[in-house]
Amino acid sequence: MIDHHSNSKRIRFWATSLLIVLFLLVPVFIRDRHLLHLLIVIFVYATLVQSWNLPGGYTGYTSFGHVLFFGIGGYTTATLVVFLSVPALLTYIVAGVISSLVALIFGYVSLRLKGPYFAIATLALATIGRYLFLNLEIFGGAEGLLLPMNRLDPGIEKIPFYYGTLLVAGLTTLIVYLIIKTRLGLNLMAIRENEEKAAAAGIDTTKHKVIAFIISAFFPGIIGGLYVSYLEYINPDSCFNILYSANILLMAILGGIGTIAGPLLGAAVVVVLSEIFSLTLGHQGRLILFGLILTFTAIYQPGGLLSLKERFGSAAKTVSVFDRASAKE
Amino acid sequence: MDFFFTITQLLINGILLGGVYAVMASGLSLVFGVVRVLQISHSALIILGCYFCYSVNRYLALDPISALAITMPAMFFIGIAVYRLVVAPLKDAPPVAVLLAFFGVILALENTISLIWSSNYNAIHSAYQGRSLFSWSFTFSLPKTIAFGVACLVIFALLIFLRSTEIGRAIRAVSQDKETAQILGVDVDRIYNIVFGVSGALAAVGGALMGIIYSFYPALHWTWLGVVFSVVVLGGLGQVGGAIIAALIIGLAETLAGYYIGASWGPFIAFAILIITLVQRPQGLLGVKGQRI
Repeated sequence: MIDHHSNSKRIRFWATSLLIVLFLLVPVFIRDRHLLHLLIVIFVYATLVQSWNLPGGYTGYTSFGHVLFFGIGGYTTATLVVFLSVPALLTYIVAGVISSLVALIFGYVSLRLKGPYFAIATLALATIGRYLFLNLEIFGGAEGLLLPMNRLDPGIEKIPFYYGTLLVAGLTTLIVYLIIKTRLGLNLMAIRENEEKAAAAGIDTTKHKVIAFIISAFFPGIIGGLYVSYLEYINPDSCFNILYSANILLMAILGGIGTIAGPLLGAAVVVVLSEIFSLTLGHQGRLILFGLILTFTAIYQPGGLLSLKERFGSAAKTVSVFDRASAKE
Repeated sequence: MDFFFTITQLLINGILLGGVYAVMASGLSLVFGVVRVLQISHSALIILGCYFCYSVNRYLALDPISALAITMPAMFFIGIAVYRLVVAPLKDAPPVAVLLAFFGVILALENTISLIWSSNYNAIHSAYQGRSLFSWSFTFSLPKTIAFGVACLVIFALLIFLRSTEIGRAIRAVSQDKETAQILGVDVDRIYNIVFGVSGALAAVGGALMGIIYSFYPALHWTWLGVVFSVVVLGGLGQVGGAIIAALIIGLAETLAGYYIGASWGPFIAFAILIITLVQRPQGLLGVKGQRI
């Protein structure tokens, strides 16, 4: 049994290493602009879903408005670049920090709310963010802001963003992985299973939840800034769009909530499906289908794609927040 | 003098709008009070009701209010469908799973509407569109006044239905104590079906009334989501009386903010009230202090 376990661990290590090397080599072999763009979008979503997963999957506090932090990061970078002429590369950390600050303030007051009410509060906050930037003329209102053009050759202009988003997605995954292996992660999962008991066992639940929320806002802030300098423009509807939140939820539940591989799998699957269905079904047809998939998965397959593996008798057990027996309130 | 005139006019507009908000939120409040789920797709049902009314008005040349005779039964069955397809299978699931499922319903509904009716602005045409009444030098927009009148009638009918009919009494029994009601022979599943049906019919009314007052587009339901939730949370979840007062407050706040800060800030106000209430007074205006949600 132990042998089998270490065996599967070794396989996982080599598979991960192989995957990392493959991703690092992609721009060497692939010059197709559209394909590189798709991979960048996958990395952006992988970052968003992976960071959403920390409060959403491991702590049991599902944010329905995680796009907020993406938008705040985007506007931080855009503001610094456009108004203060700061080099974009220096703004990403600031974007992450400001995002985390908003998470600190909002998390401190809202994380007292129970699951569904927290979800609604986050949805409302993201909408407030959108209206705020729509109405504030300094940030360009509905028109948004244009960033200075990238002066790279069209053949290679996507490559820095490819590696940038890959790096952020990888870092996010690594940090979330490290957190769930430590005391902090265990405490977060204890809060998810039973908050009263966790508090009774001496865990400062508020502090833990706020820390998880701050970390989960940091990476979307960075990736928001990075993505905005990649697109070279920003407006409230492009970066506070509720479709981002919808996609995050769909990717998380489809991949497997509360797992490390789930968000990566979900991001890749949904972005590729988006591409296919946009061409065949059109924009609206695709979103109808995605809505139905989200509903269907929440009802019939709450563990996502990863739990299918379990069904066919794999040794790995995925933990789902939607485990009906343990998570029932 | 001028100031008081403006304020009074704004109060009139706000109260008229608040009446419509009360109908929009009543379906949500009823579902939460009885079935205990947060129906976040309620505002998507309202916009569907709005588009139903638009089509009946356009193709059958019916007045939008008379069109309710067709759209209310249709939306009653759609409400039941939401219950049977989404809520019933998730009976024992944690509340967040239900919310995720509703989120999928919202996406599917909004885009189905866009696909059928286009995602551009539309308006319902009526004989009273754009007309106004004048009395004591105040302006009463005719669509808003008619919408307010219908809203009052519908809420009154709902209260009578809940208070005096056999089914209404059963609904209240289930909302107070599901287990006891079941022991006393109430078919809880049937009551849930009816409650979702009634909330669908109320969404038909809310959609028609909003469609009479304003022009609309499919994604507008996200704004209405803020309105109905701020009303229901401020009024105290599941409390119909509280919701009516809260609807008037939200209608007034939006109208005043729209006039003094700018029309585009109106929706911002509803969402801000929602968050402040959730954080500061989750039991609502009339709720018992210390009650946790």
